[in-house]
Amino acid sequence: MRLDDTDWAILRELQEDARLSYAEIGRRVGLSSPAVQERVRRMEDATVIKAYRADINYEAVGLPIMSLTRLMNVQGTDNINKVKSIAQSIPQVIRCYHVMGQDEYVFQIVATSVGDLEDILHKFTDYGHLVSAIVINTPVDHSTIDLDTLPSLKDKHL
Amino acid sequence: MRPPQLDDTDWAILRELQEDARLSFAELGRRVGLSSPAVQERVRRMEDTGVIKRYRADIDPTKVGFPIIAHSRLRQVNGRDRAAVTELIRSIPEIIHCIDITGEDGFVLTIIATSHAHLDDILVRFIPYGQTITGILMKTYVDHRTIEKETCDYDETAE
Repeated sequence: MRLDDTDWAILRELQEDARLSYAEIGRRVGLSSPAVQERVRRMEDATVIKAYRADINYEAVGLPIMSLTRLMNVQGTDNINKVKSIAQSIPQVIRCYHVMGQDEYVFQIVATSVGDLEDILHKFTDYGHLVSAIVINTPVDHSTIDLDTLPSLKDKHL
Repeated sequence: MRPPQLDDTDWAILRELQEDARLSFAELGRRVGLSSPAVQERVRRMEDTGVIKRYRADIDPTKVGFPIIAHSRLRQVNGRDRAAVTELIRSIPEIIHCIDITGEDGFVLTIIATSHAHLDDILVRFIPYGQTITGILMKTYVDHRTIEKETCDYDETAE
């Protein structure tokens, strides 16, 4: 989908505050509320916008431990499928993806305690080599993707 | 750290907002069985206590001109370079996420790029500070799981 500068302005606002009303977005980008709504709908339909999320503070709700765990050397399709379904079935696995090049599965896991984390990790140990680390902090937390700050993209589009 | 007191209705609201942050207070109220002002009051309280950090639209980089999403581990960063590296990471807009972890992989970066050459241009900037090990993000199997009350139930006896 081809995005113009106004689409990008709308995307910027929604990435910074997804609860802004169409009227307020319109005011900021210089459009009427229905015109904004129409553009947003178009970007939702094209899945440029995947979702609107409330990010919660895991620590504040009782999940102070966060781990980034890699699972390597998973052998065979059966085991790969098992790893996927285990990851999907454990509510503490908040993110899981496959990385090519390192050929590994990466899990982001939240837990109430180190003991809780260990119990979760044990569910994967039969399937490959696990390397687990604790997340200390997040220097960049889902930063806004913005045409103005990404000259590489602007050059490509012009 | 003890979690603030969240009752079942707060959790119901949190579930809805994690899945669709644009729901109106009226719709949110309808789903959890509260009036719109009552929901608004609870949401405000969870924002004030920092339970809700923010609301954001999650956009798909591959749909807006960045076909490549890379996952890069930055290893063996010298302790005295950490501040400079953090600064460098924050200054590169293509790095959309970065976590700082224990162990020899100091930083894990999520990088969006328009081409392999573009990705390379970003990665070479880290050469002075350590080794990068980069892979391409393929399929995502779990993406931002919604946190439910049961996931965080405190086991008092385990303390």
